Amino acid sequence: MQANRNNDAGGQQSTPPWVKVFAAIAILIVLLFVLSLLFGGGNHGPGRHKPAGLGELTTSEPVRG
Amino acid sequence: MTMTPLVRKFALIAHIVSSIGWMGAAAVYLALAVAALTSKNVQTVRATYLAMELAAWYVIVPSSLASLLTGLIVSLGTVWGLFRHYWVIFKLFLNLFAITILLMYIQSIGSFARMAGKETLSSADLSLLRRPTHVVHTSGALLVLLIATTLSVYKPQGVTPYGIRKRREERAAQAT
Repeated sequence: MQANRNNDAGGQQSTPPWVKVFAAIAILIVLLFVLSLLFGGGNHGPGRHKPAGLGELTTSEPVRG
Repeated sequence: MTMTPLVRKFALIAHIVSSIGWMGAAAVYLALAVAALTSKNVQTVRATYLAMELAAWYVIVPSSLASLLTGLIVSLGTVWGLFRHYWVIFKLFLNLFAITILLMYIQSIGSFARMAGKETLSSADLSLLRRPTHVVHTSGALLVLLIATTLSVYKPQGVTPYGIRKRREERAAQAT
């Protein structure tokens, strides 16, 4: 089993470099996400992406499908 | 708890199908989002949002949740474990992160679809429907899924301290 390749190291292993890089990127992404929640009106999803004023934007010229 | 080879393969197939299904559905969703963003035909824009809503609720959300569930089953039921290897932990993080964003994003697609289904669209409505948010979110999701797939295939080395301890305990138990 390929798992043995990772498991067989008997002693304490130092954290592989790729883990440190991935962890740093993950922390950065989570931080950006939290900041976007805090400073983006506290709502990343519907509040930011939902079309504002459904049915209220009728002053512009209508476009028929 | 380790699964029998038959059950393990069944769970692995379910995990691969749901994960790659999620990725494929996201790719189709991206094509629709690009069409909505770039098409000059109003009917095409309307149609893409209706299709995107259906795809999101009936394919993308179920396949993402199935991917998470089967991933947990596969990891916990095999020697890989859930917290023994760094690549498994990163995959779990990516999956949870993508599902969190998806569940937040999904609430808005219904509003866009309802707007697209209105009998008369104003030019302001149309400009809202042509916002790039759907393309941005779906591209991000595809990138995350691609990284998760790459981790699954390469399985980069790296055992967590918990994994090392568990391995020692297992070896000690086998020796006695």
